[in-house]
Amino acid sequence: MRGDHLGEFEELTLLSVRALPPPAYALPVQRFIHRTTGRDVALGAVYAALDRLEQKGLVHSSIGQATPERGGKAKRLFAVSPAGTQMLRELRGVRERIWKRIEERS
Amino acid sequence: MPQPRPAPPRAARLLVRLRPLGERRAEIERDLQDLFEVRVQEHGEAYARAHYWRDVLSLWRYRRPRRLLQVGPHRPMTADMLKQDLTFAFRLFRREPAIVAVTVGGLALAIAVATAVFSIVNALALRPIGLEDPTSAVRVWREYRNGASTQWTYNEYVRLREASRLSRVEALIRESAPVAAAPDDQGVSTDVHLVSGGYFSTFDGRVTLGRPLTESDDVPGGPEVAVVNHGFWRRRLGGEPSVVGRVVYFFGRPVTIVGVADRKFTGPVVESAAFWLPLGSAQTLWSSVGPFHAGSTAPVSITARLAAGVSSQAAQSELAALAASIADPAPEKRPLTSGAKFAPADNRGDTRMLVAVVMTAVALVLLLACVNVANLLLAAATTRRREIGMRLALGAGRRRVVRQLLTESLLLSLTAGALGLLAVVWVLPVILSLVHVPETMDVSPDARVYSFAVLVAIIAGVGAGLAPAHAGSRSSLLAWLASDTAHAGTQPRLRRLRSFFVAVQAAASIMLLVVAALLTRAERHVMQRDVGFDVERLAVVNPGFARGRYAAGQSAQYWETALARVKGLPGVEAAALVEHPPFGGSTRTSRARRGLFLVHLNRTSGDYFRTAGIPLFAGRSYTAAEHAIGAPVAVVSRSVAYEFWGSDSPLGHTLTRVSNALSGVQVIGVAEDIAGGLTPDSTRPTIYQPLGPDQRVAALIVRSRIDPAVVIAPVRAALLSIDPTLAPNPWLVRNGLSLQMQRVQALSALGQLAGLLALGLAVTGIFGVTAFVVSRRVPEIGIRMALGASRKDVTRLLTRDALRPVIIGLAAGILVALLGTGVMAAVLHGISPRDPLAIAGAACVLLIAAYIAVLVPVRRATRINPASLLRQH
Repeated sequence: MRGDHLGEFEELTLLSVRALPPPAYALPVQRFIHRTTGRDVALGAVYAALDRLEQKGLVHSSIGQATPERGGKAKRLFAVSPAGTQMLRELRGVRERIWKRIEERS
Repeated sequence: MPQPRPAPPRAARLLVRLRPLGERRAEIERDLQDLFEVRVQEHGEAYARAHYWRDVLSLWRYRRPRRLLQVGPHRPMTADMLKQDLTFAFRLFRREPAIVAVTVGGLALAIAVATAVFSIVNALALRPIGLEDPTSAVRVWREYRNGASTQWTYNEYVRLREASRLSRVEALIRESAPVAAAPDDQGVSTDVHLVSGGYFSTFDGRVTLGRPLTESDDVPGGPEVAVVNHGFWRRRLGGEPSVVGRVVYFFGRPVTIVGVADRKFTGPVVESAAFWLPLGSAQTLWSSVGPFHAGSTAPVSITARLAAGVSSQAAQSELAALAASIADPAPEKRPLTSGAKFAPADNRGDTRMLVAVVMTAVALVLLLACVNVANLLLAAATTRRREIGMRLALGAGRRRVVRQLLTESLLLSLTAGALGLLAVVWVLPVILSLVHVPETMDVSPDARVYSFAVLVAIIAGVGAGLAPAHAGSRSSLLAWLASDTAHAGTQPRLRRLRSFFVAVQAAASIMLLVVAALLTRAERHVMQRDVGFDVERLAVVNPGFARGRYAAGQSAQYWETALARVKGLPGVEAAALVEHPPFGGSTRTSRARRGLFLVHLNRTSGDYFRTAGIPLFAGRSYTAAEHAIGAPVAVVSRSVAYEFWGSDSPLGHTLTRVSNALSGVQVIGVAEDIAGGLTPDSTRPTIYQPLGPDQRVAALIVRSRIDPAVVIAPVRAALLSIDPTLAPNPWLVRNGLSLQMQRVQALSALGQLAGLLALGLAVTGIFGVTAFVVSRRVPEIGIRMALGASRKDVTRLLTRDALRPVIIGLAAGILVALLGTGVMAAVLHGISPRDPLAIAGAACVLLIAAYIAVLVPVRRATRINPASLLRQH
């Protein structure tokens, strides 16, 4: 299957969407990444990552209600899809297995 | 006072605008702003600004995945949508294919004419002269105590060339001569530049074929060779490479073509020659030039090219010092040379006025065509109100709607532009044939011309699309949805815009029509002008006496024989001698005693008046005896007699009161005034005196019984039979006149072309708008007629409504024309720039055309049965 590979930044973005209280959209994701990693990433990179994740079917997007604080502008809201949750779990499993081996060695 | 809120960098915000973001723009801009504000709070303004820049740039860096573009609710402009827009437009345009074709065709024609005219203006006024680094080429003026002149002696040229270290000095003589394919042909008059041997190498004169002229060509009695101009070779000599080695004839003498100059080469002058010949050999062809040997005082003009890295100032002072040190023996009381000064080789002077006037006319034509396109788009936008309203309702941004309308107009204009560029190939020769641009001028479109055409097409597209797009997107969403397509034509905003367009077209076209009418009036005026004598059957032959070859007495002897032989030729009615033939381009004037009255002085033989057909009012012409000795007698023209003697007869008086120099000369006759040119003030008050024993300055004037062109060859042969070493140069007086007329006719033809084009475009526009408005008012027409209005009433109402903006535009246009045509006074030859006849005529033409353009659709609409009209809606 094409698009099953997840880049490091995509993984980070996907995790952020999962970690944030819904609704998640680009700006909170960017802020979350900054807070947790210290990387003040470019907004364009976040948009691109979210688009790619959506294309791979790992997140869903919907048009949110216009909220007064946003000047009445609608925004795209993201939620992790079941496939996305599955993907995160697999990645976590892979990492944990590897760490386990590392700890066994030392 | 509250602190101003920090704002993101302006330039970066602009950059965001440039990035196509589609429906997501609002969201993204908001995110950027929020993030900026958060960063200001957390890290300070400098940090926030820097990161804002990075965010904006990241929008350009990270492309969105392809597939997403085609699915989901957020769709920016795509090829699919473009296709959709175009399909809509085509469907709409197909309903009125004639109007669309005429509109696009009109714009294409306007662009073609604009491009063609621009390429001529480009060649005439804008393009630098045909030289590499034209600023380093100069014409050198000779300074003397009280003035300056372009004439140097050949000796001065030789010495300047040898001594100058800072510039390279070359000699140039401009002549014109008939060039012929066979020795006996009359040939066509061409410009010939006689140049020194280093001319081509100094001014980087490259050749596309053969070789340039070199030093070895420029020796006295050297080979009779020539380099031909590229355009002349292409247009007149067939453009075959075999031209090198071909022989052409000047004055019946063979000259071999050794090369074809590069297309761009003109030398350090604005107008290229048709042929370049070396000075050394030219003196055997042109009896009037040379001889060219060291010490010769034959006149030449001097051009120079600065050596690399030398300032014009330094080179000029060097030549000035050299020129002053030569102090050449002065031929014929020539004032001593005191220095030299440079003038730019490109001496076209200020051509801004010409360019401005021509380009204004071109812009008006383009404006007319653009308004037609705008009208078409406006009609399209109106018909699509519902669709556009629906789009707005479904969340399409206004930007999107504007873009859609602009895309359509750009497409129309670029199509027209492409067609126009193709059409230039046909339009350019037509315009060239109207304006008589010399063959030697390279008018082929260059990069500048092509950029002009593309720019015009884009400006036309955006310009034409802007107003409808603006009007289409500005009205409120509700208005869009509420409006019924059928009534959309009567929306006040759009109706006003449409009326404004019609008024603009009427104004633009009336201005061009007034100009056309004025130029046509001027042409008529000039053509009907009585020049004072019959020029049709007159020919003039300049004998071409070589400098110093004939003594004064010998010339009288020569002419005695010549006149006898020529008068004996079949077809010759009369022959006489004259110093300055009519329309020959030369004259000698003297300021009379009384103020600014300028008298022309001419010397003739006694039978000149009878030969030229100039009537004598009173007295007599001079006798053969008076002519032979140059007796102190004179014939004055009517205006001289009137100026100095009023209603009294001048006969028997002396010319003392005219001028001291003429004090002993007795008036024996009064002749009709003749014109020196075509303008009404060109009447030449003339004093005619006998030639006297020195007849070297005389030319032969012949009146023929038949077409003078037929008589020329035997007359020339007769002169050659007396002295075969001479090079007699014949020309027709009517050609001298028609040369002046050509300019008038060319201008008038151009004006008529512009006027016709303007009228056609305006009529198309008025017709299109009326047809559209009337079709939208069909229900109203039906109601009116059902309620008892007669067909006549309705026609009158609709016609009045449609013509109102035309009349407003007409009035405005005439007002502007009255203010602006003053700049044309110089080319109107006495017709007032505010000539009422021309203005009224132009207004009539436009009104009649507009009336017909309005009446046709109106009648079509009112001819339908009112009942069916109502049922339909």
